[in-house]
Amino acid sequence: MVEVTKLELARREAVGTNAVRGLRKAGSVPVVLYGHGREALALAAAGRALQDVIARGARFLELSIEGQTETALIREVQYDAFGLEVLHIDLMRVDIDEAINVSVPVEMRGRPKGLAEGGALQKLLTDVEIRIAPRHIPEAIVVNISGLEVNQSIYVRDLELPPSAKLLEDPDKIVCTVAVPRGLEEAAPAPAPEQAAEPEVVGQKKEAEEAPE
Amino acid sequence: MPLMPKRVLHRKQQRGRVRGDARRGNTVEFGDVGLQSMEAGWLSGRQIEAGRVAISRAVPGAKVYIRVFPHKPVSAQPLETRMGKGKGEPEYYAATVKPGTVIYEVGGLPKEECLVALNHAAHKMPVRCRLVERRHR
Repeated sequence: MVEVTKLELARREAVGTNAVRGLRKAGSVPVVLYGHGREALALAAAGRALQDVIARGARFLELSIEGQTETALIREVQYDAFGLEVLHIDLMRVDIDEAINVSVPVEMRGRPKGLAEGGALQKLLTDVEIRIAPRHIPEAIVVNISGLEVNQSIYVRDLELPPSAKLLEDPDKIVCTVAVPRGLEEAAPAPAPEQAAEPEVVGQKKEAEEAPE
Repeated sequence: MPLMPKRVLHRKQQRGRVRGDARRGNTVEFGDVGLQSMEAGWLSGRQIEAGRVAISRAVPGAKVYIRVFPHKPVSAQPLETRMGKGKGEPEYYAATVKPGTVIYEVGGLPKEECLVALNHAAHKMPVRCRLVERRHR
Protein backbone atom coordinates (compact mmCIF):
# COMPACT_ATOMS: atom_id res chain seq x y z
CA MET A 1 0.00 0.00 0.00
CA VAL A 2 1.49 3.29 -1.05
CA GLU A 3 2.03 6.10 1.38
CA VAL A 4 0.83 9.55 0.35
CA THR A 5 3.36 12.29 1.05
CA LYS A 6 2.50 15.97 0.99
CA LEU A 7 4.68 18.44 -0.87
CA GLU A 8 4.33 22.16 -1.31
CA LEU A 9 5.20 23.61 -4.70
CA ALA A 10 5.23 27.06 -6.25
CA ARG A 11 4.85 28.07 -9.88
CA ARG A 12 8.06 29.31 -11.42
CA GLU A 13 8.77 31.80 -14.16
CA ALA A 14 12.37 30.66 -14.46
CA VAL A 15 12.68 28.30 -17.41
CA GLY A 16 15.79 27.34 -19.33
CA THR A 17 19.24 26.25 -18.21
CA ASN A 18 20.55 29.59 -16.96
CA ALA A 19 17.42 30.68 -15.12
CA VAL A 20 17.08 27.27 -13.48
CA ARG A 21 20.71 27.40 -12.30
CA GLY A 22 19.85 30.61 -10.45
CA LEU A 23 16.85 28.87 -8.91
CA ARG A 24 19.07 26.04 -7.63
CA LYS A 25 21.53 28.52 -6.16
CA ALA A 26 18.64 30.03 -4.22
CA GLY A 27 17.93 26.62 -2.69
CA SER A 28 14.99 25.46 -4.84
CA VAL A 29 14.68 22.51 -7.16
CA PRO A 30 12.88 22.78 -10.52
CA VAL A 31 9.94 20.43 -10.96
CA VAL A 32 7.71 19.77 -13.94
CA LEU A 33 4.17 18.41 -13.62
CA TYR A 34 2.44 16.87 -16.62
CA GLY A 35 -0.10 14.27 -17.66
CA HIS A 36 -3.82 13.64 -17.96
CA GLY A 37 -3.95 15.67 -21.19
CA ARG A 38 -3.55 18.92 -19.32
CA GLU A 39 -0.85 21.55 -19.75
CA ALA A 40 2.59 20.95 -18.29
CA LEU A 41 3.39 23.20 -15.33
CA ALA A 42 6.83 24.55 -14.48
CA LEU A 43 7.10 24.43 -10.69
CA ALA A 44 9.68 24.73 -7.97
CA ALA A 45 10.06 22.98 -4.63
CA ALA A 46 12.09 23.90 -1.57
CA GLY A 47 15.30 21.88 -1.84
CA ARG A 48 15.28 20.67 1.77
CA ALA A 49 11.66 19.49 1.71
CA LEU A 50 12.20 17.69 -1.57
CA GLN A 51 15.39 15.95 -0.39
CA ASP A 52 13.43 14.69 2.64
CA VAL A 53 10.64 13.35 0.43
CA ILE A 54 13.12 11.54 -1.83
CA ALA A 55 15.13 10.18 1.11
CA ARG A 56 11.96 8.67 2.58
CA GLY A 57 11.46 6.79 -0.68
CA ALA A 58 8.12 8.44 -1.42
CA ARG A 59 6.61 7.81 -4.84
CA PHE A 60 3.07 9.10 -4.61
CA LEU A 61 2.65 12.76 -3.70
CA GLU A 62 -0.20 15.04 -2.79
CA LEU A 63 0.84 18.40 -4.17
CA SER A 64 -0.26 21.75 -2.98
CA ILE A 65 0.35 24.35 -5.70
CA GLU A 66 -0.57 27.82 -4.51
CA GLY A 67 -3.85 26.66 -3.01
CA GLN A 68 -4.68 23.98 -5.60
CA THR A 69 -4.21 20.32 -4.85
CA GLU A 70 -3.10 17.61 -7.29
CA THR A 71 -2.00 14.02 -6.94
CA ALA A 72 1.13 12.96 -8.76
CA LEU A 73 3.66 10.21 -9.07
CA ILE A 74 7.42 10.81 -9.17
CA ARG A 75 8.40 9.72 -12.68
CA GLU A 76 12.04 10.69 -12.83
CA VAL A 77 14.63 12.18 -10.51
CA GLN A 78 17.76 13.74 -11.98
CA TYR A 79 20.89 13.86 -9.83
CA ASP A 80 24.28 15.53 -10.10
CA ALA A 81 27.36 13.53 -11.15
CA PHE A 82 27.80 12.07 -7.64
CA GLY A 83 24.15 11.15 -7.16
CA LEU A 84 23.91 13.35 -4.08
CA GLU A 85 22.03 16.46 -5.09
CA VAL A 86 18.62 16.42 -6.77
CA LEU A 87 18.69 18.59 -9.89
CA HIS A 88 15.19 18.12 -11.32
CA ILE A 89 12.05 16.09 -10.82
CA ASP A 90 9.39 14.93 -13.26
CA LEU A 91 5.94 14.49 -11.74
CA MET A 92 3.05 12.80 -13.55
CA ARG A 93 -0.55 13.62 -12.64
CA VAL A 94 -2.35 10.44 -11.65
CA ASP A 95 -5.64 9.39 -10.20
CA ILE A 96 -5.10 7.24 -7.15
CA ASP A 97 -7.43 4.54 -8.51
CA GLU A 98 -6.47 4.70 -12.18
CA ALA A 99 -4.04 1.96 -13.28
CA ILE A 100 -0.67 3.14 -14.60
CA ASN A 101 2.54 1.46 -15.75
CA VAL A 102 5.23 1.57 -13.09
CA SER A 103 8.55 -0.08 -12.51
CA VAL A 104 8.86 -1.70 -9.08
CA PRO A 105 12.17 -2.90 -7.59
CA VAL A 106 12.64 -6.61 -6.95
CA GLU A 107 14.04 -7.26 -3.48
CA MET A 108 15.87 -10.55 -3.11
CA ARG A 109 15.96 -11.95 0.42
CA GLY A 110 18.15 -14.68 1.79
CA ARG A 111 21.47 -16.22 0.84
CA PRO A 112 21.13 -18.86 -1.89
CA LYS A 113 22.22 -22.40 -0.98
CA GLY A 114 24.20 -22.51 -4.21
CA LEU A 115 26.65 -19.87 -2.93
CA ALA A 116 28.01 -22.35 -0.39
CA GLU A 117 28.67 -24.76 -3.27
CA GLY A 118 30.73 -22.12 -5.03
CA GLY A 119 28.05 -20.67 -7.29
CA ALA A 120 27.68 -16.96 -7.99
CA LEU A 121 24.38 -15.13 -7.81
CA GLN A 122 23.58 -13.16 -10.93
CA LYS A 123 20.79 -10.62 -10.69
CA LEU A 124 19.54 -10.09 -14.20
CA LEU A 125 16.41 -8.10 -13.43
CA THR A 126 16.35 -5.51 -10.68
CA ASP A 127 13.04 -3.85 -11.53
CA VAL A 128 9.86 -5.28 -12.92
CA GLU A 129 7.28 -3.37 -14.96
CA ILE A 130 3.66 -3.75 -13.81
CA ARG A 131 0.32 -2.04 -14.40
CA ILE A 132 -1.36 -1.10 -11.16
CA ALA A 133 -3.35 1.67 -9.49
CA PRO A 134 -1.10 4.06 -7.51
CA ARG A 135 -3.05 3.17 -4.36
CA HIS A 136 -1.67 -0.38 -4.52
CA ILE A 137 1.90 0.21 -5.70
CA PRO A 138 4.15 -1.96 -3.50
CA GLU A 139 7.47 -0.58 -2.26
CA ALA A 140 9.20 -3.66 -3.64
CA ILE A 141 8.36 -7.14 -4.85
CA VAL A 142 9.99 -9.46 -2.35
CA VAL A 143 11.31 -12.82 -3.45
CA ASN A 144 12.98 -15.40 -1.26
CA ILE A 145 16.08 -16.78 -2.94
CA SER A 146 17.49 -18.81 -0.06
CA GLY A 147 16.44 -22.10 -1.69
CA LEU A 148 18.27 -21.47 -4.96
CA GLU A 149 20.89 -24.06 -5.81
CA VAL A 150 23.57 -23.97 -8.50
CA ASN A 151 22.09 -23.68 -12.01
CA GLN A 152 18.63 -22.84 -10.64
CA SER A 153 16.85 -19.64 -11.56
CA ILE A 154 13.89 -17.55 -10.51
CA TYR A 155 11.69 -16.36 -13.36
CA VAL A 156 9.39 -13.38 -13.59
CA ARG A 157 6.42 -15.79 -13.44
CA ASP A 158 7.58 -16.89 -9.96
CA LEU A 159 7.23 -13.39 -8.49
CA GLU A 160 4.33 -12.76 -6.14
CA LEU A 161 2.60 -9.63 -7.37
CA PRO A 162 -0.17 -7.70 -5.59
CA PRO A 163 -3.59 -9.11 -6.63
CA SER A 164 -4.58 -6.06 -8.70
CA ALA A 165 -1.27 -5.87 -10.59
CA LYS A 166 -0.89 -6.86 -14.22
CA LEU A 167 2.53 -8.05 -15.28
CA LEU A 168 4.02 -6.23 -18.27
CA GLU A 169 7.26 -8.24 -18.48
CA ASP A 170 7.87 -11.50 -20.30
CA PRO A 171 7.03 -14.19 -17.69
CA ASP A 172 9.90 -16.35 -18.95
CA LYS A 173 12.51 -13.67 -18.23
CA ILE A 174 15.06 -14.69 -15.61
CA VAL A 175 15.15 -12.54 -12.47
CA CYS A 176 18.19 -14.15 -10.91
CA THR A 177 20.24 -17.28 -11.26
CA VAL A 178 23.01 -19.04 -9.38
CA ALA A 179 25.61 -19.74 -12.04
CA VAL A 180 28.79 -21.79 -11.85
CA PRO A 181 31.76 -19.46 -11.91
CA ARG A 182 34.33 -20.17 -14.61
CA GLY A 183 36.86 -21.53 -12.12
CA LEU A 184 34.48 -24.32 -11.06
CA GLU A 185 33.61 -25.58 -14.53
CA GLU A 186 35.18 -28.95 -15.24
CA ALA A 187 36.87 -28.14 -18.51
CA ALA A 188 39.16 -25.26 -17.66
CA PRO A 189 39.34 -22.82 -20.58
CA ALA A 190 42.62 -22.69 -22.47
CA PRO A 191 44.83 -19.80 -21.37
CA ALA A 192 44.30 -16.72 -23.50
CA PRO A 193 47.03 -16.16 -26.07
CA GLU A 194 49.65 -13.71 -24.88
CA GLN A 195 48.69 -10.27 -26.04
CA ALA A 196 51.24 -8.27 -27.98
CA ALA A 197 53.27 -5.81 -25.91
CA GLU A 198 51.96 -3.00 -28.04
CA PRO A 199 48.63 -2.65 -29.86
CA GLU A 200 48.45 -2.88 -33.61
CA VAL A 201 48.32 0.54 -35.27
CA VAL A 202 45.46 0.86 -37.75
CA GLY A 203 46.80 1.38 -41.29
CA GLN A 204 50.46 0.83 -40.40
CA LYS A 205 50.68 -2.59 -42.06
CA LYS A 206 49.60 -1.13 -45.36
CA GLU A 207 52.44 1.38 -45.29
CA ALA A 208 54.96 -1.33 -44.48
CA GLU A 209 53.77 -3.41 -47.44
CA GLU A 210 53.96 -0.46 -49.81
CA ALA A 211 57.31 0.81 -48.55
CA PRO A 212 59.86 -1.94 -49.60
CA GLU A 213 60.16 -0.89 -53.27
CA MET B 1 49.11 -8.52 -18.72
CA PRO B 2 47.51 -5.16 -17.94
CA LEU B 3 44.53 -3.97 -19.93
CA MET B 4 45.33 -2.20 -23.19
CA PRO B 5 43.63 -1.65 -26.56
CA LYS B 6 44.00 -4.28 -29.29
CA ARG B 7 44.27 -1.74 -32.08
CA VAL B 8 44.91 1.99 -32.02
CA LEU B 9 44.63 4.67 -34.65
CA HIS B 10 47.65 6.58 -33.37
CA ARG B 11 50.44 5.18 -31.16
CA LYS B 12 50.93 8.40 -29.21
CA GLN B 13 48.47 10.98 -27.93
CA GLN B 14 48.71 14.39 -26.34
CA ARG B 15 47.97 14.49 -22.63
CA GLY B 16 44.87 16.68 -22.72
CA ARG B 17 43.03 17.88 -19.64
CA VAL B 18 40.29 16.27 -17.61
CA ARG B 19 37.61 18.90 -17.22
CA GLY B 20 34.15 18.76 -15.66
CA ASP B 21 32.25 15.96 -13.97
CA ALA B 22 31.21 12.61 -15.41
CA ARG B 23 28.01 13.18 -17.35
CA ARG B 24 27.62 9.50 -18.05
CA GLY B 25 28.89 6.30 -16.49
CA ASN B 26 28.18 7.87 -13.08
CA THR B 27 25.55 5.43 -11.79
CA VAL B 28 25.63 1.79 -10.71
CA GLU B 29 24.06 -0.08 -13.63
CA PHE B 30 25.08 -3.75 -13.45
CA GLY B 31 26.02 -4.76 -9.91
CA ASP B 32 24.58 -3.89 -6.51
CA VAL B 33 27.33 -1.57 -5.31
CA GLY B 34 30.04 0.42 -7.03
CA LEU B 35 33.23 2.39 -6.54
CA GLN B 36 32.88 5.99 -7.67
CA SER B 37 35.76 8.33 -8.34
CA MET B 38 35.63 11.67 -6.53
CA GLU B 39 38.49 13.21 -8.51
CA ALA B 40 39.70 13.52 -12.05
CA GLY B 41 42.72 11.47 -13.01
CA TRP B 42 44.23 8.66 -15.02
CA LEU B 43 44.02 5.00 -14.02
CA SER B 44 46.75 2.89 -15.57
CA GLY B 45 45.95 -0.58 -16.87
CA ARG B 46 47.99 -2.02 -13.99
CA GLN B 47 46.06 -0.08 -11.35
CA ILE B 48 42.75 -1.23 -12.84
CA GLU B 49 43.99 -4.83 -12.78
CA ALA B 50 45.28 -4.45 -9.19
CA GLY B 51 41.85 -3.24 -8.09
CA ARG B 52 40.14 -6.12 -9.88
CA VAL B 53 42.43 -8.67 -8.23
CA ALA B 54 41.83 -7.07 -4.79
CA ILE B 55 38.06 -7.39 -5.30
CA SER B 56 38.14 -10.98 -6.55
CA ARG B 57 40.36 -12.04 -3.64
CA ALA B 58 38.06 -10.41 -1.11
CA VAL B 59 34.85 -11.85 -2.59
CA PRO B 60 35.65 -14.91 -4.72
CA GLY B 61 32.59 -15.84 -6.72
CA ALA B 62 31.14 -12.34 -6.88
CA LYS B 63 30.35 -10.77 -10.22
CA VAL B 64 32.81 -7.93 -10.88
CA TYR B 65 32.21 -5.32 -13.56
CA ILE B 66 35.00 -2.99 -14.71
CA ARG B 67 33.40 0.18 -16.03
CA VAL B 68 36.53 1.92 -17.34
CA PHE B 69 39.03 0.96 -20.04
CA PRO B 70 42.55 2.32 -20.60
CA HIS B 71 42.31 3.80 -24.10
CA LYS B 72 44.90 6.52 -23.64
CA PRO B 73 48.57 5.84 -24.45
CA VAL B 74 50.94 7.50 -22.00
CA SER B 75 54.48 7.96 -23.24
CA ALA B 76 57.64 8.53 -21.20
CA GLN B 77 61.28 9.38 -21.81
CA PRO B 78 63.72 6.57 -20.92
CA LEU B 79 65.92 7.10 -17.86
CA GLU B 80 69.21 9.01 -18.24
CA THR B 81 68.28 10.37 -21.63
CA ARG B 82 69.18 13.88 -22.71
CA MET B 83 66.27 16.14 -23.52
CA GLY B 84 65.07 16.31 -27.09
CA LYS B 85 65.01 13.60 -29.75
CA GLY B 86 61.26 13.69 -29.90
CA LYS B 87 58.41 12.27 -27.89
CA GLY B 88 59.06 9.17 -25.78
CA GLU B 89 57.68 5.73 -26.52
CA PRO B 90 54.30 4.61 -25.12
CA GLU B 91 54.91 3.32 -21.59
CA TYR B 92 51.42 2.26 -20.56
CA TYR B 93 47.75 2.85 -21.26
CA ALA B 94 45.47 4.80 -18.95
CA ALA B 95 41.74 5.32 -18.49
CA THR B 96 40.67 8.92 -18.08
CA VAL B 97 38.41 9.26 -15.06
CA LYS B 98 36.23 12.24 -14.23
CA PRO B 99 34.69 13.02 -10.82
CA GLY B 100 31.61 10.80 -10.56
CA THR B 101 32.81 7.97 -12.83
CA VAL B 102 31.91 4.52 -11.53
CA ILE B 103 35.10 2.45 -11.82
CA TYR B 104 33.98 -0.99 -10.57
CA GLU B 105 30.68 -2.62 -9.74
CA VAL B 106 30.18 -5.77 -7.71
CA GLY B 107 27.10 -7.91 -7.33
CA GLY B 108 25.89 -11.38 -6.51
CA LEU B 109 26.81 -11.47 -2.83
CA PRO B 110 25.48 -9.66 0.26
CA LYS B 111 26.00 -5.93 0.00
CA GLU B 112 28.24 -5.72 3.09
CA GLU B 113 30.74 -8.22 1.65
CA CYS B 114 30.81 -6.39 -1.68
CA LEU B 115 31.42 -3.05 0.04
CA VAL B 116 34.42 -4.46 1.93
CA ALA B 117 35.85 -5.75 -1.36
CA LEU B 118 35.39 -2.38 -3.04
CA ASN B 119 37.12 -0.71 -0.13
CA HIS B 120 40.19 -2.88 -0.82
CA ALA B 121 40.10 -1.74 -4.46
CA ALA B 122 39.70 1.90 -3.38
CA HIS B 123 43.09 1.66 -1.70
CA LYS B 124 44.69 0.71 -5.02
CA MET B 125 43.29 3.72 -6.84
CA PRO B 126 45.24 6.92 -7.53
CA VAL B 127 42.04 8.97 -7.01
CA ARG B 128 39.82 9.49 -3.97
CA CYS B 129 36.82 7.20 -4.17
CA ARG B 130 33.49 6.60 -2.48
CA LEU B 131 31.23 3.58 -2.29
CA VAL B 132 27.84 3.88 -3.95
CA GLU B 133 24.78 1.67 -4.08
CA ARG B 134 22.37 1.02 -6.90
CA ARG B 135 19.48 3.44 -6.97
CA HIS B 136 16.04 2.29 -7.96
CA ARG B 137 13.51 4.22 -10.04
